[in-house]
Amino acid sequence: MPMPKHLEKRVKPMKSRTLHVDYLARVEGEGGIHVRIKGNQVKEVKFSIFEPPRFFEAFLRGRPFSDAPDITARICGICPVAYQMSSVHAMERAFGIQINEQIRALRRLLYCGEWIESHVLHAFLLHAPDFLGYQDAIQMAKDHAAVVQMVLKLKKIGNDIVTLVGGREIHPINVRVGGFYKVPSKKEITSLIDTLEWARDAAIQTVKFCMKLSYPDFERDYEYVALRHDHEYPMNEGRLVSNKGLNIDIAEYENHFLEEHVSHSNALHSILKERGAYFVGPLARFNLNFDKLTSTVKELAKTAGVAKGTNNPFKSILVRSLETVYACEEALKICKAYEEPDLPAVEVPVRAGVGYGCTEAPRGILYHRYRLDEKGMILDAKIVPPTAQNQKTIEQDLREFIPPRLRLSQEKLLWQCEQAVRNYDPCISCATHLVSLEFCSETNKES
Amino acid sequence: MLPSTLLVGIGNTLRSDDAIGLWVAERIAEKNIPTLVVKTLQGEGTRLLDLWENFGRVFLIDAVSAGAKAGTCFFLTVEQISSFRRQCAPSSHLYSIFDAIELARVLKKLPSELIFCGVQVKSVSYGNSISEEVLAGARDVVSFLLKELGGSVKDGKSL
Repeated sequence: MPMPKHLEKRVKPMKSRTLHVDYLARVEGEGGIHVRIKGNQVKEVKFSIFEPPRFFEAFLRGRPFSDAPDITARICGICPVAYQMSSVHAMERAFGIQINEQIRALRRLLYCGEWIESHVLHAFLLHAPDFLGYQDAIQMAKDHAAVVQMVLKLKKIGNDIVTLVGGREIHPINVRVGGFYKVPSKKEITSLIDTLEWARDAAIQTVKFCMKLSYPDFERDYEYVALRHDHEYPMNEGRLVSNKGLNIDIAEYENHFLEEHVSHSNALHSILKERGAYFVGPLARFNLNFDKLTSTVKELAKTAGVAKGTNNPFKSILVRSLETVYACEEALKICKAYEEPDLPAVEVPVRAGVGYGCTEAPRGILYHRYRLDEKGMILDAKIVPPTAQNQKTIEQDLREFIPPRLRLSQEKLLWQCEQAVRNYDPCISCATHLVSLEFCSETNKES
Repeated sequence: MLPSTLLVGIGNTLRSDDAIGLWVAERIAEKNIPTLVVKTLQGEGTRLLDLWENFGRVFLIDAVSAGAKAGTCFFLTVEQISSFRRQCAPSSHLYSIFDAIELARVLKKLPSELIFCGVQVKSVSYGNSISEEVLAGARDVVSFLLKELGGSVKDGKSL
């Protein structure tokens, strides 16, 4: 992995060192890393979330079920569709509603738009500079203007899909329990086809770009958790599965997963009750659902050397670009087959109950659970974002990643630690919607 | 006559004073100026490059955290932004507005004229009301913009 010259200085191992990043750059929200090293051992790793906590779960209490998609969408400006999808599916499950195939396809198209814009933004404007030795995408754009222009255009196409189907690209306003408020015409949807064909070809170019990157040699034995569907690469539906035996209905989530407070973070850490840390996101989806990808994506994956999966989290950038190709192809398929539904939404018979929703946000599974009274008022809510689920894994990665690299200079090691965190495309704003906690910070010291 | 000027209010209605850019945009939109298009943005900066694509003159309004007294207004040209941003707190957005402006400059995608109007926040904690001091500053921004939309800006200034 090429590094800027000024960061290549090597140092002798010290008796103890502290690595501290006050503000992680190129991630959404505010988070930091604190690592304490003694001799050759990593004594302490903290991935700190110190953005003001969000109280959405409490805020939702006493509000009508129909408010949940619009309120929860405001948890995140990057993945609002994911929040809307998890919430509407949860409410529909509580009410015993089945949406029709056309509404289902439109929701999938909407999610394709979000995957494209989120993946492209993270992979090429936030993460790729790490691999090429640039401080940021601005510096990268000076030497790779054509690539940056292409990814911006690709990202725009994702945004345009979300705008068309969702009514607005940020915090879509067209999503409701039962379907949509208004559906696009066949003409509007088919107008996307030419641009999606360009997008698919551009996305393939991004995969080839990623194939040329140099990846740190780092792998771990992870437990990947993702949705798995009988017929398709998962977005809105499926069972929760892992590579270590988990296979449950999403309604059983809280029987298997636990959230715990940690002193250094405002966000709760999620663990599997029996086995601890786990890994959600593109790598998990890819490793658990490779057979459901299109032949184009499978061939590209084979050329890239990841057709049998990968346990190297740095290759998440490659997997994001493969998923972007998939999203473009899936969006094309939906657009070509689109028939405007007779009605934008199905009937919503309100009743008391508990509803569960779990969908694949760009960063991984996003779980919602709501308890409703007979009038559909929310009695309580639980929301578990993907970044909260990856926190422990991020810390464990750093714990194992650092020791073989202790001879690196402080600056270079810090850079690589930040890059390691960015493997997970953490959305820190999402992960801090829960009860506030104390966190501790330390000043930098070396001895 | 097609609109030639774009005004983008940037912010988040659930983060207290961070909503100020949206508040200013709403006040300006109410005036129905025929040569002006008003848009809003949550804060993902790369979208700006799409929004301003066919406009020669662009105003951006956003909250800033620059260590000044709450409600202080800043009016900045592109050239002034790079030194100004050094006094600001790191952006918490996935792609900051200032980074997007700089990226556009590198890619030669800046509009002919771009003015950034910033209002110093008091609080960006969770909530949906704006501080009085920040609102007072925002009213000054509205006055400034209404005056400028009838002319052109010579250089940036702060009040």
